[in-house]
Amino acid sequence: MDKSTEREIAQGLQQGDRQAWLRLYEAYAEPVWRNISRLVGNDSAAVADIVQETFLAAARSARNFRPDRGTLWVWLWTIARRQVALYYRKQKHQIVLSQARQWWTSLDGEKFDWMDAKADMPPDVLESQELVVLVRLALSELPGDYQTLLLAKYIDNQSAERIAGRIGCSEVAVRSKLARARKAFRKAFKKTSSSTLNA
Amino acid sequence: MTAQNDKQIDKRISSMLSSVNQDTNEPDKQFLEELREQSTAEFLAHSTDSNQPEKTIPIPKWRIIMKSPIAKLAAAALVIAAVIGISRLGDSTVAWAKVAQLMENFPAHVHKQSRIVTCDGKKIDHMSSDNVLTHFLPGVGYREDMYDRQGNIMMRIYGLLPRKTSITVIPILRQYKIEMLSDDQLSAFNMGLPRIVECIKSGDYKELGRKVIDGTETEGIEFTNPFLVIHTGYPIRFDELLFKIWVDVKTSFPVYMEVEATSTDKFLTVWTGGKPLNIKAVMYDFQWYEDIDPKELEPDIPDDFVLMADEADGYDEEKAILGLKAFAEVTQGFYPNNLNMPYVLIDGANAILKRLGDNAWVGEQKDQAEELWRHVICCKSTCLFYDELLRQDKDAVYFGDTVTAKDADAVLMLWKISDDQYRVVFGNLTTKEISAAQLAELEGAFSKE
Repeated sequence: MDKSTEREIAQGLQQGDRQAWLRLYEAYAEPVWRNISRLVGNDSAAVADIVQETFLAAARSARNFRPDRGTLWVWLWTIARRQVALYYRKQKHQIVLSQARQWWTSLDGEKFDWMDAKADMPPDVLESQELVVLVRLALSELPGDYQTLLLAKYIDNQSAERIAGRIGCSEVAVRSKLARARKAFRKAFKKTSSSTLNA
Repeated sequence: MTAQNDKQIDKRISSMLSSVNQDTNEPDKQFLEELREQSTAEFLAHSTDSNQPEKTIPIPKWRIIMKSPIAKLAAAALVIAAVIGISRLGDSTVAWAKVAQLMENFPAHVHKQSRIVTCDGKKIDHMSSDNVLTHFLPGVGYREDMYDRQGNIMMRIYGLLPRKTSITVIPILRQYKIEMLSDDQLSAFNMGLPRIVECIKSGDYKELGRKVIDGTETEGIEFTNPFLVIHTGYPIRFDELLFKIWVDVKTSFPVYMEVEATSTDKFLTVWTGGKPLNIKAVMYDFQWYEDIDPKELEPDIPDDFVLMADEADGYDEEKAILGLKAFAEVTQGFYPNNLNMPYVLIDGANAILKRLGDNAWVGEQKDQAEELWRHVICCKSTCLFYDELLRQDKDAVYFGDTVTAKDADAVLMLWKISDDQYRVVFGNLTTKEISAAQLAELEGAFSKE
């Protein structure tokens, strides 16, 4: 979304303009769904619930949207991230997470060397469902801007310029933040996967 | 670490992250179409009235409380106590010593409150409310939720008593405020209930006889005690006060309280130009517990709410850096993960527990915990400063999640001061002005660490 469209929609939202809300919804409903699905997995009912909670909460507070606090995407994703975090807090997910952590602990090899690319990660590990669960959990614990950056860069293959537009910063800041986001992801993955020992 | 390895890490993370794209759901078009209509209606409904706050109904929250294991245990204890009350008291006159004892044994409580505050006969709307829900756990904290007549939450005040901190969340403004409580305020909070118990024990009261309240047969007493302090979100001191307490004759637990008071407390009269206020309040729907889950009293502040600045708060660069320094002293070298104050408070509280142990707030180290907490609160200046940079579109970035005080040369925070110049705060809290090219060089060096 270019800056002038972003500005128009923001103004419209503040004035309670129906068209502004529809433009926002059309632009971001599917991207929000996709990102939530990446973090939550194939539980379509859960994804739908989180998407619904996100947009209803956004609709209730859209009039108070403040462009100086970030772009429309940043605002919307802040709300979505909170809903995802609530989803992960629910007890029933702890069983799946606990199993994934046990699986990770039982693996042979220098696992953190895999993370640091000092050793090859076996293909069967890379393709396992348990790894997906742990990656999702690690991602869900990152700040919203890091989630956006990592998903946009590594899954949607977006350019630094496009990402900069979405999160409202310069390309220099995107590159800088990406380095931090990668580091934060590795740290979060190590923390979430190794907490098996305490689980 | 080589550039080659750097690329390999990039590739590894890429392949790991790609895994989350498998097993996902494509957007459900029909669902999204329905949601478009639903969310548009919600948007329009909340746009027609600019004062429409988020709607939160108190009752479901109450149900959540009852789901917590501690609350269930406490509720069970309440029932047992009630049964004891029935067997001992029967239809006899209430034994007020027993009432005092129950209030001491089950000091935690939840109640509703309705209050009208007037000055010169005129109602002061923002201090009055028909619907206030209060959770109170002596020595631990309180939470006061103010609702309007439609059940919309107007304001929520949290008191973190051991941390001497009050947090006010105002959904209608999407803002929140953090203040330190003075020792006087703190003792007033902790003394509210014990003073009522003292008054009952003293026997210096007037009996009011029996009356049926909401279908419950009650017996009441009244007393006057201007030193009595009732927590009303803030501890208010009264000049004159008439207090009535009504207890269930079967259980001896208080079920209804009435207050009529005048106050010249500066906290209130600041709104009336020094004129005294009259307060009439009733407290009802009491639930008494031995304990309630402290998690119910922990602040819940949405990520997109904005921290309000007090006049006393400063947020220039110098104070921002002092805030980071103070926080790092508590955490022994770590900075807040991000500069959103609610997270700073959580990180700070955890760091204090890690450093002083689980009894940090109640044991011998309480004073030290309080001192460390004051350091954590200093970070408010940093958060306000960072917020201001964002507001002014200065391209501000903060990396407290990866940079510690040991990373002396790593960029901790930066913001733009001109088209090609950035102001940078390093891990050791020194500052420098550098060009975009120099910044890219610095960042490259950091990512290879």
